[in-house]
Amino acid sequence: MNGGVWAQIAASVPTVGTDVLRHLEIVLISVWVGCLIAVPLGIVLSRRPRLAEPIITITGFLQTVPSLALLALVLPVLGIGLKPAVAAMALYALLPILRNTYAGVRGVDWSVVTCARAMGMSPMQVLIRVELPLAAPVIIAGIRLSTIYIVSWAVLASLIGAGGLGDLIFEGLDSYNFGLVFAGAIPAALLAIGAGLIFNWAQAALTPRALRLQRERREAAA
Amino acid sequence: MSWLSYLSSHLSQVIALTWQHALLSVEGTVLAAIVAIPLGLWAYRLPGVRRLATVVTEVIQTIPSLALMAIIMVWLGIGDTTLVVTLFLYALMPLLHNTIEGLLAVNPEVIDVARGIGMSESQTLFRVQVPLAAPIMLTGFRVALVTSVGIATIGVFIGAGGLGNLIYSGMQILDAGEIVAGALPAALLAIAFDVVLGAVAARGRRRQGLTTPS
Repeated sequence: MNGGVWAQIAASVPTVGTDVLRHLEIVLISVWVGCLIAVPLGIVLSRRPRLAEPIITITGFLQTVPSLALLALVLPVLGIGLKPAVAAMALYALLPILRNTYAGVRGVDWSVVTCARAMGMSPMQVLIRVELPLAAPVIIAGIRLSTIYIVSWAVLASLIGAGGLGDLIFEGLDSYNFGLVFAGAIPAALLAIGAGLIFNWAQAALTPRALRLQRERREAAA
Repeated sequence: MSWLSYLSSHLSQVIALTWQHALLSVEGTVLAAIVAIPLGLWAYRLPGVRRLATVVTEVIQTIPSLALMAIIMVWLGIGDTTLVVTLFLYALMPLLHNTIEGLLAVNPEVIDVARGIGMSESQTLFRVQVPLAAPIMLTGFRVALVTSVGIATIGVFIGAGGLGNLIYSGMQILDAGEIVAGALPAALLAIAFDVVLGAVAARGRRRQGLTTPS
């Protein structure tokens, strides 16, 4: 690497700040909207397995659609700008959160729920004090997955005019300017890694002790 | 439907790009399996190595694909090689993770029994643990391959082949027909890999008499 690259990185530092903020804005709005819709919906679906199975299967298919393909399809329909990009990404952020909320709540040991009911808890109490805490690690894993996907997607969203760190990377790729590529790629990577670490910590903090012990026993036996 | 007319007039090109797309995705994923599965077999019982390998591949997985691809392009230049190396790196995590998780999920009592009837450590590993872990390992391969199909679409930005070329040129001239002609086969390719490998894994689980979803 020559001095020129570093000079180019240094020259793009002021815009990196605004691009990072824009990137964060896109990610936070999309994931937040995704959570607001997907967590309650996942809980409702977990009560109606027959209705849920086809919906979960469809979300599985939607999730396999390549990100560039979906963003490209949004372009002729919703047009260019921040709002179409956020709409597309919120929709995509829904999917892992919905699947994990459903799987997490459904995966709670049936006998534990029965015990809670037998102790006299109302269905709402069972949900809030038993099922959700036990499902929390799985739900958070879904939100984590969504967040990391969306950080990655937001780079591509620059193509449909949403701004963010993709602006720097695409400009660098188009002009073969490696300084600009690094100036966009490195903060984007750090953003995603940082988000992953925060969620790892949150997941560990919110995992009930009983589940932790269960896993430790299994690992010790291996 | 403008995309149908585009598709019928460019059918051979769409088929060639779809085939190229599938080959690039499979290449990156298979190369990763060759590295990740033996690594998982070796690392799953060494907690330190296991943690290190998981953290490293997880960090790679987390980096936005276009960012990592652009950085690799600075070293390897434009073309298919850069794309395959990127796909390889992204496929490592699901493969390694599922190899380790699959082996850890094997009932410890079964392992005790295998050792008890006189199997050596490597016999236990290859004749008991690996077959029991195979459906979960296959799920890792499936996730890796489907992800690869998605990432391969953005290979167009570093000059690689595949269906991204149709999608991107359609985006540039705002031709919805061309976008769909690229996006639809890419989506169908991902779904096809997902369905086929899912069916294979389900069959494996049924044979073992296991019903737990992975």
